[in-house]
Amino acid sequence: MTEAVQKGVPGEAARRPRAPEPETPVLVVDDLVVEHRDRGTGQVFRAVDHVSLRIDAGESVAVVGESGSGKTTLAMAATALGPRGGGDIRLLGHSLSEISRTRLRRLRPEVQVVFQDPHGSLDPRQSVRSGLRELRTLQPERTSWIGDAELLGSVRLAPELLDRYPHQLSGGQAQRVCIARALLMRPRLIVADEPTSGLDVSVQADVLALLRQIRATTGAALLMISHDLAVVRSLCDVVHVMYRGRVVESGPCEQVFVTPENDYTRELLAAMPGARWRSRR
Amino acid sequence: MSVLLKADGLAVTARLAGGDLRLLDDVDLEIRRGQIVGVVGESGSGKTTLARCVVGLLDRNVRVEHGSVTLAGDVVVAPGVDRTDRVRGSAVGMVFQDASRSLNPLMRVRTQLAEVLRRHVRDITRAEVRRRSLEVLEQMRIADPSRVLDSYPHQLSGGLRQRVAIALAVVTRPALVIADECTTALDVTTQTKVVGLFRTLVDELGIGLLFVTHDLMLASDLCDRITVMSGGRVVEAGDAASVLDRPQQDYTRRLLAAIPSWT
Repeated sequence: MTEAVQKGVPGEAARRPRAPEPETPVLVVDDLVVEHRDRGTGQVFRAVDHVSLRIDAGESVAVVGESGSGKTTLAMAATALGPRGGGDIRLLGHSLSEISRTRLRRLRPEVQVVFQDPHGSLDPRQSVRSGLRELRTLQPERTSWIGDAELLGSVRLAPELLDRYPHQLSGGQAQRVCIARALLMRPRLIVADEPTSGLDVSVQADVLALLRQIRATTGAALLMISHDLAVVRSLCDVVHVMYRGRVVESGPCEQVFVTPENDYTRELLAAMPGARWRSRR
Repeated sequence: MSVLLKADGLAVTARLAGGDLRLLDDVDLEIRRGQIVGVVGESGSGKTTLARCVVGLLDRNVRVEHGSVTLAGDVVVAPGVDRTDRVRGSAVGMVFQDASRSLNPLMRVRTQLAEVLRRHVRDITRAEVRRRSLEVLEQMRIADPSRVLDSYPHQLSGGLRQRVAIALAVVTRPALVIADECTTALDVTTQTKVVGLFRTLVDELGIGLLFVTHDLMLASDLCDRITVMSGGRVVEAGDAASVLDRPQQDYTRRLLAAIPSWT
């Protein structure tokens, strides 16, 4: 690998020399079906029911729906982290049904996932610094582009936090550490599963601003899983509305949120808190 | 409308290994019958401490230093005074975030409602227990009340479980209900139903509701009055529309500015 060691915040430095061809989508989900079998009763539950979607390089796509709609199952299948049934998934041009285990392992760093509970994603026995060191050992070349302090700076955390353990971090700080760990890998796709649901509104606003900035400067695509339509509208280009395993409506956020065509989408919009306040503004 | 609940200059302190920590500082709050008062704030603002203080559910290392809580004219909480066991569960009902933790997993809904009724309503007959159990589930707009009565909590969806938890809180016909983040774990569509239910209950039964939430928008939909808390103090309080439309304090303005815009 001829990559030079690059330094800097996720700006120019984070631009990938091996960026995919513009026409290669980051993710293509084609007619995906995922079923879970209840171990007790043997009953089969179809969590994802013939879903198709596509994310182009640098694009920000949301999947919204309530609990049990299949949005997380979809994201996990699409990133080869969860079970996959019928249909095909092409991640950075590779079909997950044909890909070898070796190649899949090499592909993994390109896709980084940020989960809802940051403390659940961090090893409680490792300081932030030692956690980063572990990632660097696993992927020395990929991660050499930025130092620890600078990486933390890019998610607006002070370098002193490097020596903290997860329990010494607030929810917002821990979530930023998770985002920093994802950024270290210079992913082409960031999957964020309810990344701000457990955070206070003011902290949520900071994390959303950070994700927006990362998008603009690194060119990474974003797959956002959320039940919060306002968060989605403030961050994403395209939205897919899921209900009981199916995508019931898709389109640009502005179109879907302003002129929804599906009854369930309308119901979700009507249930958004704050209608009274917004109507007075 | 008469004053149902009044917190007056409430100061509450926790004793910790590293010293004392003031959890509530000079907090005033007033709830009248038929009124929904929202207490909003971020984590650590003291909103839950306030809700728990009112019903005497503070931790052992936490004590009231100054001020008082008055319920329908009677002092129930003051320094060295805790008369909340007389009102908790009877005059004051409580609903918390995690419904499954307020329900007994080993008992059918029917048995739990009966237990609460027998404890708080003297000499209640079996027929009356049956009638009121069914009635309260109907008030919760539960479509199939007899099935729910015969169910164990794990057999119900999250939304139904939360409605059963509310039913347990209101079945004794309390004058005041305290709801602490009780819709936070629910889907938005279910949240809308539960919140609508609260409005109906308050309007129909004339109870007072203390609604603790981190969600300003939810508070703006539901509440008549809003108290904004931060760092254990009341930052701002008033009529819901005026607090949210014409916030007087920077903190409230910042909270409102942090809400993702919707246009």
